[in-house]
Amino acid sequence: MQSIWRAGFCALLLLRSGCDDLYTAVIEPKNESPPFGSWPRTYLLVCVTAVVVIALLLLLTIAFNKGRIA
Amino acid sequence: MTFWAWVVFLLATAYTIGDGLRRTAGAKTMEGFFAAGRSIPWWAAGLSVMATQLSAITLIGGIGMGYENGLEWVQFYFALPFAMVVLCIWFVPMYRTHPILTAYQYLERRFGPVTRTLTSLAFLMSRCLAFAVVLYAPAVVFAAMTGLPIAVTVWVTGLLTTAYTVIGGVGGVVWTDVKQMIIIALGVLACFLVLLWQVVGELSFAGVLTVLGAAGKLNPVEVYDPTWTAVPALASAPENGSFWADKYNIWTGLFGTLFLFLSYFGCDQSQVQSILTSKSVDASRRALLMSAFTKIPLQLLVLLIGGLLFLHQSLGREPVLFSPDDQALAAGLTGASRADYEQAALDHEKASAARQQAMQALANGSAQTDATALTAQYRNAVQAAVSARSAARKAAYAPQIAKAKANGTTFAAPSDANYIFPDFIFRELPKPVLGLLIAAIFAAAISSAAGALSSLTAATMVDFYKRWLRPQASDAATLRASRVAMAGWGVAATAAAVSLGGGPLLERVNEVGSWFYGSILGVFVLALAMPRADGKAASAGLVSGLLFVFLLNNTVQIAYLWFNLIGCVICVGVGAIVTLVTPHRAAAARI
Repeated sequence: MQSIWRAGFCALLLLRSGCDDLYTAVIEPKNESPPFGSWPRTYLLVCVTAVVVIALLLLLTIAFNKGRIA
Repeated sequence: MTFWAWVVFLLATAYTIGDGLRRTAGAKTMEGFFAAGRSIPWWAAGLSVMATQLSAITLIGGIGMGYENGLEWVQFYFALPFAMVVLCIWFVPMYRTHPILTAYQYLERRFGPVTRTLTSLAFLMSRCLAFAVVLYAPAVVFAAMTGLPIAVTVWVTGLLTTAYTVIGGVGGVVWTDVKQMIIIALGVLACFLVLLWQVVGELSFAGVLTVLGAAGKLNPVEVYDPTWTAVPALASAPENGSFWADKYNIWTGLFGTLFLFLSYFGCDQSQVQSILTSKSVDASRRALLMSAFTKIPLQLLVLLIGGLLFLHQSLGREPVLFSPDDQALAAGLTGASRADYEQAALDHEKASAARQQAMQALANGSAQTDATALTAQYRNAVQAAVSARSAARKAAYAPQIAKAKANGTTFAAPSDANYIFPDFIFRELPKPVLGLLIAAIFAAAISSAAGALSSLTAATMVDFYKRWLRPQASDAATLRASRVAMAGWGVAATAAAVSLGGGPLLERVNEVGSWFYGSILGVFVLALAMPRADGKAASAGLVSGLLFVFLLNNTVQIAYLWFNLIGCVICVGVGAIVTLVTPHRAAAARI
């Protein structure tokens, strides 16, 4: 199931990236290169980083927090 | 404030504004005034997005929230990176394909003038009161800091912001935001390091984590609370601990705020103007992704300052009342209220002493005592100190509470969380650092106000004046009218902030913003995702979304963050139904 989701997400990004390349070629030439190789890779990196940060914060909560004080 | 604090504050403020104006050198066209000639580099646009979003009250209030409730507020920003990715993929190309000056101009190309006007009107309604809040909320704190009357600090903040925005336009705002964001970051970092140095020196790093966790303040992720109930309570019923009314947890953070950020950064002119000023599509994307990477760490830093400040105050002497207004009220108490206040202050002193003792034992890992018992002892002392502070505030406001009761209404003593940070910086920080921090807070206030002012003017002039009133007006004439309108908005909002004061209307303005955001986003989703949808469908969706959220708000208790998701779903749903039942003439031109 997880790999289906992953494949779908990557396909979506690649599809969109193709449209973007067409768009920028016709409408507006690129003058800023993508920060991490390509835009899909950059977007994926942003999402993965966000998930990792949330997971680390969850671990921090589990390890140290003793519950809310009203 | 001392002489050196004033010197640093005035120099930092003068430099940020002066340099921002120098770089723009006077905008001569509408394109220059409202889009900075599409010449802003991505990093400047990115810093501007961050500075506009980080208002003074977010900074001061965020530290106050960290002090009182720990890190839970960071969950509010969890969806931001995902929202930025969605905006980069779909929204940025949509805006940059056409030479538009407001987000709502795009809607006319897609749906016609009615939808554009309705959406722009919804934006103006949600933003104009928020602008007053952005001016008023920090002015209260500046008044406490400087000893000046609140009206004076509101007028100084409002008129200064209006002046440099009128002169420099969006370009001036963006370049000023860049300096302001640097000063904010420097101020926040300096404060964090000073506090960390002091607290770690006393408790050790591991001790800091243990003690913050024991106080329930290391809570950046809340997945489940056993007290949640599944059914929301009616608006007239007492609170029932419903999941839907809980504001900050991972679910509101991932789903409610996803729609809030999509709407705020993708459809709110105050943010879209940064996308429009960038040099290219890719530069706009880079600017947005800069926020995606930096917002959560920055907000975590702000909340951690609050947590460290809590430990710092626990080690020293925590004031029973932080707000100068509350202290003045307490000083004037007589009779039973006076006795209640003194008892609360005494209880607070005892609880603070017990808290300090238990905290140091817990942090130092005292081998003689059971850690679980020590943690329980510490938590009881923290709870007792919180209760004593609350009782002291209640006693200070006893005359107002009694008066409200006699009139058959209720009065709740206001929270003093916004005064926690100013109290600390005035008492404890070295004076030049104090000046830098006040400059940072002031910078945060005026950068948010300037963003709101320029976006209000852009929507007024481009979507109403130029579209309906004077379509034939020349660029130069429209630019002159824009400067007048901007000055008018600035003075009107400042006057509104002064006259509305701190009433309940102002407290609810941010919540009111969420009534609009979801539905506005829904219109843009219809434009992007449903080629057959026309102006009728979009207008019906927008009005239905707004009405449904308004009704929901008045019938059930539900956290306002969910309104963003609900408004969007209703708007898209109704728009889709109207599209399906309306005879299909010709496919709308896909833009």
